[in-house]
Amino acid sequence: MKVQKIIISSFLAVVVVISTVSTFWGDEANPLLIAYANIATANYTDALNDAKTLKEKLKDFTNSPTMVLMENAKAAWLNARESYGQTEAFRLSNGPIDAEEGWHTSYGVPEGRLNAWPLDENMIDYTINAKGKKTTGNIIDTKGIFNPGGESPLAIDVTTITPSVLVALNENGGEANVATGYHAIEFLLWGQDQDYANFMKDSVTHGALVAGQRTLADYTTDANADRRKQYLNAVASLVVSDLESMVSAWADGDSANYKAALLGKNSDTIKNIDTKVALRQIFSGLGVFIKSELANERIAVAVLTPSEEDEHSCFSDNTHRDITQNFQGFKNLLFGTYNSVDYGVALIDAMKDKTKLMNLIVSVNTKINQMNTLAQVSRHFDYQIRPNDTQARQIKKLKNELRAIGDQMIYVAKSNGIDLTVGYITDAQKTKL
Amino acid sequence: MRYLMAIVFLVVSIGVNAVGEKFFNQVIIANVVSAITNTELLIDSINQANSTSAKMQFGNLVSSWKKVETTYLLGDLNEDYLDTPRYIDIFHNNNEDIKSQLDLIINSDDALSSAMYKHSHKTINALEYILFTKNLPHQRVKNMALMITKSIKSYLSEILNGYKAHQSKFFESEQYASAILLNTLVGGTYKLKEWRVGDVAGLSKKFKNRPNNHRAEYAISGNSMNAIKAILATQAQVINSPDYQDFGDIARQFKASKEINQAISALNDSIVNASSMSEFDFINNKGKRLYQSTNRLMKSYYISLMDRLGFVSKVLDADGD
Repeated sequence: MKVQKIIISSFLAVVVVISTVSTFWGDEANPLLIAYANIATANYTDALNDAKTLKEKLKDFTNSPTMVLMENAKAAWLNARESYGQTEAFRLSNGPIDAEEGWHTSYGVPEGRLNAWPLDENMIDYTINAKGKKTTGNIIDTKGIFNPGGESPLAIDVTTITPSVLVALNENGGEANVATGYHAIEFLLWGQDQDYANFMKDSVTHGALVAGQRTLADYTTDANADRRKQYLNAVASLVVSDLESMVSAWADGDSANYKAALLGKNSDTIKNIDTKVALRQIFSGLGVFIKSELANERIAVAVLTPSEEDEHSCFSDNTHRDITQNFQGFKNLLFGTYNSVDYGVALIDAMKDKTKLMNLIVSVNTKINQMNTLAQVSRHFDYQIRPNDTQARQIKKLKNELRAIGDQMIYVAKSNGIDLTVGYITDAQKTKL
Repeated sequence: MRYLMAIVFLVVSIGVNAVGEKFFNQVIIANVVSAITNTELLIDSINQANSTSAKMQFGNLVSSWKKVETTYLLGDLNEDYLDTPRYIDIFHNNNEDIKSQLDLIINSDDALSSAMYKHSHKTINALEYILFTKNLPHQRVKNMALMITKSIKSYLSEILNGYKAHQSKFFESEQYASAILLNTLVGGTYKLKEWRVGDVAGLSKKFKNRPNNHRAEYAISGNSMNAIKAILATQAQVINSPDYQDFGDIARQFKASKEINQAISALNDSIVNASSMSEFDFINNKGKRLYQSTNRLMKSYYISLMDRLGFVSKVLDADGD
């Protein structure tokens, strides 16, 4: 047996915080949490305002369906995604958007209603299937009891499509049975882009810069036009009400809400979150979001399968902006800024050697810019991920760098006196040790 | 407001015998070579359109591939190889229904080279569906099975060449080698207990109280326990082998005897629990016992060993479903 004798020198930096957290900050909230919470307030407020505009534009369109108003509605949807995409950095941190447990689940944990994806669009409306046939038996064309199918589904009366009907249908029978949220609206505005038989052939819509091509007739002469209008208005109402709930959770001046609890100021003191627990959840949430959600689920699955179905906004071909804004949301919190406004102490400030992390961020920015440029001038994301496209390799590298940034969050946390252990750096939604 | 922070730097110099060349060759390289051999035997069976033999060889390939996957750290040695396993295996890394896609391909007239353009069409998961639900003597089915198996062989060969090309990085820093090895064990054990056992047994958070044997990794061919046994056997190669300096020996030299002994105990329990299980036992007490022992194994790696050895852990990958 060959045995290799080596000397290992390891430098262990042990940070000992002598004082307790409460002694350190006294009655003042932790400045990291203040910046984080204030960005949440601003970002969710913007997302709500943009969603309200979207709702108005959808109302205008459904009241009087014209091409111009349809384009206005699409523009409003694209704009709404810009602010909402950034809020996704608040996910996976046991906050009100997707907490699994705790009193703040009373805000409705709306993530699954707002942004559930990927969705089985064929449950909502017709598609052209892999055999070239138009599908039926969906929510739009069923005027009565609808069975969504899947695992233990519950049949729902869809005679009138209302917000409560859509809530009852959402993920009823399985995760793919998505009936609500931005992507349901996206499908109802753009329609199918993908060729389910072979996305390389692209025979449903044609062209590298062409998204879904739903016709205006779906809202005018088609037999189910009125039901589509009902659907659009119902789902838009849900998006707005769910974001109103988030804004109330993060509103200033409310001593009983989640923001007050995060900052240790809730009048019901039992609701206040220990500062270290809050920071641990935030650091781990950011790490999991950037690595497991953005890099793995939203990019890796799409480019490695490869699969158009698994690009985030597959009907509108807006995936490049989803990725851009998700990463922007992460940077907002890391650097303590939002819309060029400095919100104070940043998570990265305490990190002594930022070189590796900053180099990764610069490199990711470059790749995201390239992806955006190409999406505007030569080919959408669904063409960039094709196996024979040179850009596919760049997107894989982008994914790898995002993964590395996710791992860096362990060091960022450590710089702030927070050790992350296994319970925190797995996807909290999917596992519990 | 008083604040006092003391920073203490400890320089620890520890002389250890590292996981080295013998482990690398006898476990990592040998397992890849074995998997390549199994693809060749499977190709022979497919060429003969011998369905019985092909199914048996598929089982052998599952076993040898899982051994490669269990210690797969080539992506840490060179980032270009990070995704190679996903071109072989898409368990929990895919949202699509590849079965319906494969059915379409079988029934279409398109040339296979263009019809099977997706990586997911050429994985071991696709091969299982083709070999165990389709008629192998059918020429198009046979051609698809051949294309898939050759693709798997090609990626395994790429892995073998990659290890040989980048082995120096594994040898030059044994501390780094040990750290990536432990992180690989952690990631693999998490997937073992959560995806391969917990999701099926209805014990994972995602499928709490909803057991379903159809969620097993190789539910179609009945090779799920075969895969799990291969994973556990490979972990024994890593932490409890009498034949070479293994990770268990390293841990002891780092004064982590208690922690590694706990891991070995949990691993041995898992091996015993798995040995008595059939494909249909996930949803009964046997499945529960395996979940519990693999959970102990996970914790002993992650919480005890990682901490004791001072290695920095990574954010664990969530699944793609």
